[in-house]
Amino acid sequence: MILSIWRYCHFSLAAVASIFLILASITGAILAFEPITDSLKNYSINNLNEISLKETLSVLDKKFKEVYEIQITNEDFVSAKVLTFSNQTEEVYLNPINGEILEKVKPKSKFFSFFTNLHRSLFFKKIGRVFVGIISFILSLITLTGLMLLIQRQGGILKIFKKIKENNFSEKYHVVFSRIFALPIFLIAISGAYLTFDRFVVGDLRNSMLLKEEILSDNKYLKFDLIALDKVKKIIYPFSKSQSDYYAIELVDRSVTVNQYTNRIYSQSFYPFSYFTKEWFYNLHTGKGNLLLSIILLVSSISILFFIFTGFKISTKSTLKNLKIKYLSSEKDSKYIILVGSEKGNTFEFAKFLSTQILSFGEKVIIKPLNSYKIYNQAETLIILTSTYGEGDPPSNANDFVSRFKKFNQPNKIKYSIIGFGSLKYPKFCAFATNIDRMIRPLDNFEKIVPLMKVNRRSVEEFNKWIKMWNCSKLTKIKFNEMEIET
Amino acid sequence: MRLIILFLSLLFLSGLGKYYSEDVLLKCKIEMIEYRGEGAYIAVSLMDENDKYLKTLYVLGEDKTWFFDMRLFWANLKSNGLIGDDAYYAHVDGITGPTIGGGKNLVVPLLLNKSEIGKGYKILFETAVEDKGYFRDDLTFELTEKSLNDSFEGTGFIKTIRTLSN
Repeated sequence: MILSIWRYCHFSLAAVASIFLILASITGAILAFEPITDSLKNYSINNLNEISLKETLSVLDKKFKEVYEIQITNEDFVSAKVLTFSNQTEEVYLNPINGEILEKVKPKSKFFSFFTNLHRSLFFKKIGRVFVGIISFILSLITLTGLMLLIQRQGGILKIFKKIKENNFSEKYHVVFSRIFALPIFLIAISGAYLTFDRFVVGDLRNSMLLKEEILSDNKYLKFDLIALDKVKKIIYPFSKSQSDYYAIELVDRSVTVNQYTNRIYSQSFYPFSYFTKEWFYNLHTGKGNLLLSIILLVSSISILFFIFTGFKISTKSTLKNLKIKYLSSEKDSKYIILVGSEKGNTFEFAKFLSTQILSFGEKVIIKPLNSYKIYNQAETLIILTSTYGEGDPPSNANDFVSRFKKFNQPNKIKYSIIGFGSLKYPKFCAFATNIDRMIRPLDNFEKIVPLMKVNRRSVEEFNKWIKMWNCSKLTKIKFNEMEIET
Repeated sequence: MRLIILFLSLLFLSGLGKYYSEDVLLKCKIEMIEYRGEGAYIAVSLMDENDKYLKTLYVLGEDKTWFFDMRLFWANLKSNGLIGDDAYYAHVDGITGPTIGGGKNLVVPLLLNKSEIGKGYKILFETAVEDKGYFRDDLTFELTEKSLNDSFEGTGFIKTIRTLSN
């Protein structure tokens, strides 16, 4: 039961969110190029820890008519908003040692701001942001349920990286790549969700906390000559020469206001914990200032598209097959009962192949999943076709069969045959079919037509071998035609 | 000779004109009221004595997608045919900065001309916050010698503005 819950959640969450996830991952992949292109600009100052704040302030004072603020970015760029001697206000990247202008700060490009908007709010402002946050949270759930499925499929958390035995391209690589990308995608998703959460809940609380700055009564001074630029994030110059206008300085751990003449600290407020979590998640989600991270983000975004595509292929394949289960006759009067245990519905093809032939003999037949086992009043013959999941577990539509089988005693004597489907690549080849064969064999009420047949990788030849044995048996009137081998 | 005198006096006059049309840098410290939510978009415009728009002096808010929230500014861009052509972006690019959140303050430098002072011209601040509303006249003040070093109270998202000119 647990297995099918994970599968059900994994699939339905993905189905609900898929369109938005496609949009978010395409835009996310495009946005990953922003930090990549940023890192190509080389305005970063390597030795920030050797340059004192005092040095920088005095250099800039000589270089410009007025300085409004200085900022040190995550990329270690030093930017300043200044008034030049020709009365132009400019924002520039500069060298803090000699005040030399490296480049004008350009506003965020039209291209990236368009995609940023689309990515985080779909152009629906607040509602859009909340919505995208929820989608992001759903993605983290999809990753977790997928991880549960992966663990079950591989037979334990320690076996996650064992070889994947699967032939279908979509199924194989959905699993193969999930082992690599589960972690980065989870981090992208949870950080995206957190950023929304921060924006609407935590951030407001933090702002009100930050406003409660503590006014210092004792004389503490900020030593501008001892503070290196790597400890500083932002310096806002005093508005006027008045004593009541302070320097507002954001350091890495707190913000302070400082008297512009005496350098006495007037007030300070320490950043609350949520400030650092937000920053951490923000950098993680955007890859700002980290080339390697932004490349990982790019590849992971593309991988989400791949998972949606392959996941969609896997699900259409299995739902289409499930739709083919036709209740050919009613349970009450069917003499032939075909029960199927299948994870993805592949086994139903064989069941259908048999049932149409039984129908052509004028006999009534039903095909049902193993889990629907119950008392069959008219039943004479039971055919069980079942695969095995993971390490000998029943597939999801057969997980209840064993207990139901023990519960319902059939009124008639029933002839039966079991065909197991599986792959020889797995050590526990057809283990579930073997288990139920062992359970049924000793019962007096059941009579074996053909011994347990194990079919490797849906081999038609091996299935036909079973048909030949069936046709030789004297216990049954119906003779099957062999299945055609597809070339 | 007359021509030369005329030419020289014209030169002198234009020089004089140049002297009088000196730049005035007006620093405005905008302090916001404490509100929860997104940062405010603010457009600072120069209006003439009849409340007719003359030009945009500064825009707070880098994301041009939401510029239409500042309706007066947007209407003026529109009527001047600046939307959609790249000149519009060039027009605004030099005078934009980030949005400003509740309880925060920010210094905005406005570049004016001496000739614009004392003629009844006004500076108008219009503000818009994503889902919290729009104020067409959050704060206005007339450009006089006195108002260059003064402080004013806002009616919307702006709490106060201090001005300083040297």
